[in-house]
Amino acid sequence: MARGKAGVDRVALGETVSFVCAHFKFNLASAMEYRWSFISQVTLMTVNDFMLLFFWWLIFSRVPDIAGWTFRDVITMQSVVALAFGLNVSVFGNLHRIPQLIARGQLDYYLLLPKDPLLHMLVSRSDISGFGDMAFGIAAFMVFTPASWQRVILFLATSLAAATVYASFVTVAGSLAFLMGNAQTVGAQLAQAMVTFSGYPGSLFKGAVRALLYSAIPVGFFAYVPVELLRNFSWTLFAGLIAFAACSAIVAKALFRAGLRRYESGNLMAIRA
Amino acid sequence: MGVIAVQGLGKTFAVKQKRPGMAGSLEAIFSPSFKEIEAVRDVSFSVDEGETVAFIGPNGAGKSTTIKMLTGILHPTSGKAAVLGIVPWRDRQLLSREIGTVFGQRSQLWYDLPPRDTFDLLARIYEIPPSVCRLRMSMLADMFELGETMSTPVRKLSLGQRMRCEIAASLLHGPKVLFLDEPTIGLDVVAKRRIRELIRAMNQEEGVTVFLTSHDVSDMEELCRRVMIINHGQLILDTAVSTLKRDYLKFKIVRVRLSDPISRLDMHGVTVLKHKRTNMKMSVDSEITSIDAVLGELMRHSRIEDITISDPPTEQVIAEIYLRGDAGSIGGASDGSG
Repeated sequence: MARGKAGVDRVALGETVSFVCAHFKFNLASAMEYRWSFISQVTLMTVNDFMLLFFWWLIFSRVPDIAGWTFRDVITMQSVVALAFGLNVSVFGNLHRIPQLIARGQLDYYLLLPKDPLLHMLVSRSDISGFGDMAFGIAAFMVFTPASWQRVILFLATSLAAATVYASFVTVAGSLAFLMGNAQTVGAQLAQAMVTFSGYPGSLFKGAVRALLYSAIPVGFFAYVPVELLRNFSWTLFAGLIAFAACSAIVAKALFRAGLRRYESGNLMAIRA
Repeated sequence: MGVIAVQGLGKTFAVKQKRPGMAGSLEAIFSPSFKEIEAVRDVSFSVDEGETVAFIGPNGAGKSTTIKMLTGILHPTSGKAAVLGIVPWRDRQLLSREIGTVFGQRSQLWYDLPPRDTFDLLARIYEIPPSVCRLRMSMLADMFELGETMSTPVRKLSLGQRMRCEIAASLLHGPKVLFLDEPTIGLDVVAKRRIRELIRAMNQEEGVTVFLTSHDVSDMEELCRRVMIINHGQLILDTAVSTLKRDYLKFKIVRVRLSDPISRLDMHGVTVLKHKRTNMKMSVDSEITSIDAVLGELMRHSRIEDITISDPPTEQVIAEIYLRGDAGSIGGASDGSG
């Protein structure tokens, strides 16, 4: 019996989720081959994130708020950013290596298999330190902010949207390598700009800088909008965040696909580790 | 129509030019200049179902670029190609379900995990039903003698074991065409022979069409019935392997190390290429003088401590093709296709 379009889409989505999960488990198994490296990376990243929170606590013990943001708002932002970033580097472990993979001609493997090459490339590696970020994000949100089940669901939903915005932006930045050849530094600096600006209260930035942070470098949708939603939920703002995340993903995928026409491959020796 | 049909295929890369030194680097930033390199130029051929074809040429001849266009990795600058009726760069994902690929310099196996895990992952990627996959894996493991290799982390495998796993992995989904890019590169003589036997067996038992690139003439000699030679991006010869062997591979390169020095070796059909006391390198025309006869003559003067017999390098075969004015004889392979 023929399946309807919705049925076909559901099957395709199910297969994609299963494909991503299979790679995630595979990466995890691969990382666990080096047990102590795995444990130390996760632990140190969690401790590192909590240290950052300690510095914010020191600051807020002297001032009640920064441009209207309280310590709780900063914890919320750090939690969302840590979970979104951790999800990206642990599930999409090749995200920050896109320029390098393009410039060195290492996309061949993904182009030879019957899966979307962008998704396949992203999930083929895992950075274990991301588990530390995720553990910190969830723990900080649950312990230091009022955590009702509605807020937890919203936290997870906004973090997923933030993760999509970040992954899309870094993919677009990385895809510059199709045009420039070597875009590793540019890609790394643009990704770093997202991380740097997501470390400060959004209300600090006004005028042109604020406009920039809600457009070309979309830190606003990565870090500030989720905080606003968890502070004062609004369906309009939530829909805006989801729409921006979805559009970002579509643009990133389209640009990467267009870039493949310019891909030049290469002959470097390569292993899959 | 052939399984692979290529018409006027070309690929040009724009390569940045830079003068040496700091001044050249500065100039390249403010006024970059590019030179167009034609990696593949107007290549046309057709391969029939079940054929074993060698695509031979020296390094940089355009072999890998051609195979990458035929598998959809690269978009061509000009020309047309279809593999199993599919345009590779347009319907790459569709084609990938029908072809298998092995790149000798690239591994598709996960370095820290046993090959069995990669096979399981590939089965998911190709969406092979578990029951079909189990049977197929078992058949490939038997045929490629993988046994315990399947459960050993790839980092602990020898290059020969790894390459057997690579080829088995590329056959998991039952492809109709197998593209092999330098599958024997870096392998020792025994491992090379085993890999060639396995590829031949897959061709004979499953009817898989084999398209193989190599710069090793022996790969072609032992495995294929048809050979295409590419040089500087152009197809210069398309003929039966038997014809190539008859016309160009009648020479063998023989290297010997003797226990005692000999002054000279005069034999009809033997050209001494290098001679330094006990070491000698010679080219032997096996139609005029047999290798046996040469070794017999040498052993009359001295004991042979070490010996290597090899085919002439691809570069020498190509030089010979040009010398004989045969470059450009395309399409004479009908007697060799099989």
